[in-house]
Amino acid sequence: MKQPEYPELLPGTLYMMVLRTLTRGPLHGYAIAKRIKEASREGLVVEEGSLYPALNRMVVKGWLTAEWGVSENNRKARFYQLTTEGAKQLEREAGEFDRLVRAIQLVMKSA
Amino acid sequence: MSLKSELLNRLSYLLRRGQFDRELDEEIEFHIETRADELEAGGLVRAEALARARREFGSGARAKEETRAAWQFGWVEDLARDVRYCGRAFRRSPGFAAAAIVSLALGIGANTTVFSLVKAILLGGLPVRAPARLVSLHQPSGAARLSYPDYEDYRRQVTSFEDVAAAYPAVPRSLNAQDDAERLWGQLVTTNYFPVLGAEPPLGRGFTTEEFHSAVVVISDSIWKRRFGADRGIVGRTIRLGGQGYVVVGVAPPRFSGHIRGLVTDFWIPLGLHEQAVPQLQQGARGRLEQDRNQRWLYVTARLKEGLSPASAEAALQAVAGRLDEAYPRGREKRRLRLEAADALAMGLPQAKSLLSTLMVVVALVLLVACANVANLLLARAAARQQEFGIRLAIGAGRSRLVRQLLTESLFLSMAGALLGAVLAWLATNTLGRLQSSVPYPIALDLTLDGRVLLFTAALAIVTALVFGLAPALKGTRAGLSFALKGDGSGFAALRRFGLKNSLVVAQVALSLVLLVASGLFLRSLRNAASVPLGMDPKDVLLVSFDPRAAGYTNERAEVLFGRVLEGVRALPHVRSAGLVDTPPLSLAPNAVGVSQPGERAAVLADIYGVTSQYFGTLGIGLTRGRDFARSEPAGLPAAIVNEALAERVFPGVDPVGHTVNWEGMPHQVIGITRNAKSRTLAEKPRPQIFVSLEKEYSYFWGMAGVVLSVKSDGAATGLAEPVRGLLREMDPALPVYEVETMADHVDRALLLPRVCGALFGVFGGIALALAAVGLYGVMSYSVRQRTREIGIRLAIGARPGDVLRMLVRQGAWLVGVGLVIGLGLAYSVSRVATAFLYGVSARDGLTFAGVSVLLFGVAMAAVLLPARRAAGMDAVRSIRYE
Repeated sequence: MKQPEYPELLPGTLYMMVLRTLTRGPLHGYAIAKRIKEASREGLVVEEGSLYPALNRMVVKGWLTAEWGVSENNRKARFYQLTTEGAKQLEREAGEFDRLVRAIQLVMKSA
Repeated sequence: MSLKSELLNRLSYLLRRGQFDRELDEEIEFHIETRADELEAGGLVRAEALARARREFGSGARAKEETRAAWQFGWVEDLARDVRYCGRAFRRSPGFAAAAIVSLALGIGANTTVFSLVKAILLGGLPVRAPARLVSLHQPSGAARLSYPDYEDYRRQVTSFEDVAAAYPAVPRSLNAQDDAERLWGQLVTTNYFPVLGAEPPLGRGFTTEEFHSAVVVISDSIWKRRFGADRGIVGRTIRLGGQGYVVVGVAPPRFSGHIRGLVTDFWIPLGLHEQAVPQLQQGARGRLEQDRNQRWLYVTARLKEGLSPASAEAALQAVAGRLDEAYPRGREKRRLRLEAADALAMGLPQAKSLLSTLMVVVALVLLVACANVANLLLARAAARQQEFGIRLAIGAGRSRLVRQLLTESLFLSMAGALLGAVLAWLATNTLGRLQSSVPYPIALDLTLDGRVLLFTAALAIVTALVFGLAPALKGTRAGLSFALKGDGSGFAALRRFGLKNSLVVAQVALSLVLLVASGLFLRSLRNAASVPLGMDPKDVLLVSFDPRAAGYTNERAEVLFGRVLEGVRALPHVRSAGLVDTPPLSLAPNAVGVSQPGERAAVLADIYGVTSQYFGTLGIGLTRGRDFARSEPAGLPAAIVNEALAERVFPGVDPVGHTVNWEGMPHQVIGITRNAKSRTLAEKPRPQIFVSLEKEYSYFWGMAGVVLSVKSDGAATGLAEPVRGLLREMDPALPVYEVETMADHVDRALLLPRVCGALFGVFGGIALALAAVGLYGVMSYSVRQRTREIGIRLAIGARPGDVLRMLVRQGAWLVGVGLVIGLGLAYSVSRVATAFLYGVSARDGLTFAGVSVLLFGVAMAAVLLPARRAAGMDAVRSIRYE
């Protein structure tokens, strides 16, 4: 069975989107992936293989904290929460990303 | 979030990795199951849903690997793995690991010990501010002393210096306690001494300019702690030095012991006090010290201005010296000054330097032998591990990964060796420290294993690991996959002719031979030195040193004291005779003077001793003609006694008794002749000696040592120690008695150098021999093992075991022979360095060279013979099947 094709994430945007997804409260890994997929109206998909390493790297950097809790389907799950440092990082990245996108759009429209 | 907490996060991961891995598994499991729930809700059966969820997740292993990587410090983990691996590998062959570590520990320990000596003796480092800018002013003759007026002129006129200080070192004064006077060593210094040196007292202060003539004192940190219990209230108190009161104004910085490294200084007093502190300085002066340009008594230290080179300062000094020469000519002798680093060792003992360089060469050789040995063992081991390497290469390990693994093993060995070596060095320096503290001069070398020494040891460990580890690691992993898996070891066949392994054997034999020659020479020298005739009889003689000058005695009062002491001691029970001498023989440091017949210009250099009546009898130095000194010498010329060596040189063919002899221009009448006795060292040829009356001419003897009472007892000399001490204490409790020993111990101490050398080289030689034997045995057994099949074929096609044995022995002998020849050449060319320390044996002593060669050859051949015999005794068929 063939997996549906999704456009790949722009490099470097995974962190930003994970951070953004977590601004509304703690979520576990699966929910994060799902939330991103839904929010992008299926336009983006996070590969599980790269999600967990990314989550861990962000914990190492101190942008997230991870805690065990119980999920909606009554299973033990690890919930990730944004730290103040993570919120600041999101602001920085989002700002930069906006500038980048505007610049690209300008180029694309001028042609 | 700072870098630090990120680091902490990673560290905490390292500590609870097991738990982390379990949690990651759980998390991934949760992900998959949640997805499966969804799929199940969409209509799939559970099993199918799970399978699909797993497929979607992709490679869990890769995700885990990457997740772990998020937390790890990659190389640390790899290293830890390597170390664990090599720990396992060594546990499998503990004999190999122990042999390697012990060889390296001996090599590294010896080097560390010698380096701590080098550090103490040759490397700089006064504990002062900016020591690099401190220079001392020397006359070209090497004499370091200047007159006070000249010092003042240089100080005022040379602008290259921040300031210039002057000092007169080695002023002995007794520090009085209740009934126990201790002799301390002080310096007379200009009041700017502490600021110039950059050693301002942390407690109290240095001297003010006004205190040039004041009875004030700065004491050393160690005296402050030892004698005054580190009492901070000491500043302002009066202490008694040599019977006079001094107000303590400061305590010098810790570890600061004056500007002359190696010389202990316990206190500093202002230069203006020289008359009271060192009255004998005035003796023979033609004017007051502070005005006399001919009295050169000051050691001058200057601090260069920032950024100025010593060369430019030297030029400025020269200009001033030229002006002074014009204003105050000194005959033909011109003033010329050199600048030297201020912390040059006080006793610029050339002997110490050449001993050190010899030792450095030797310990470097020991380390090289150890390295060669370990490299050999590693090579052999690498050969045996071909299969292991092959498999690891086959499952995808890179060669660099294997080399790194092997180097980790080497580093592991050398680190363990260095650790053990540091412990050995610590033991050795402690022992050395105790030995040198028995020298009767205020000398202390800082032999502690400080950071610098430990850094050296660590560096040595790394370098040795590379030296002995790199070649075997490269060699061992070079062989390609295919053959390694076949495991016939033929990759090493190329080495058999004259490869790395054989060169190592040759090098090892050669270096071992050099060490063995050295130890042979020193051991023979030691034996000779111990049995050399002294020209005196040390049996039952006690030596008691005391210092009247430190207790403030003038020369006149000292003369009276000497009479009373001798009278008192001679009246003690068990005393046969007693006499005084300024410095007992075999002390390395009597004064040398020019002695001649009156009217003759050419003088003979002779050691001069101040002695009293009964001195010769007490020490068993025979008088061949004339008489001993008497309590009351007849009026007229002062009396002198000379030894046979001097009589021959100054009065050839004449009986000198009754003749006049001049020393340093002072006429004396010869009243007797003694037999030649050892003067400075056991190794010396008979030296000319002249003896004058200590009582009448005590003023001449104002060296660092006090006077030494020698007492001959009718039993064991040590029994007299307490009675004599008691007698001296009774006569003057302020009189510091600083050394009591038997003459036999004193003579023993003269054997210290040959003994230490003998012991060192004996040990090193033994180690070298053992290492050579072990190394050769190891190499030969491995090489025989690798040739098992070849030998088997030879046996199968009709070679007799004897032929095989002969072939193997011949090949081994050839290697050892080449090593011996190279070693003999090396030993011959370096043995000259040892000449200065040898007694009664030439540095190129044929017997030693031959004996050592035979010994080493024998041991080496035994190491070759054992595996060879085993090989020759093999069953032909089994050996062909060996693989």
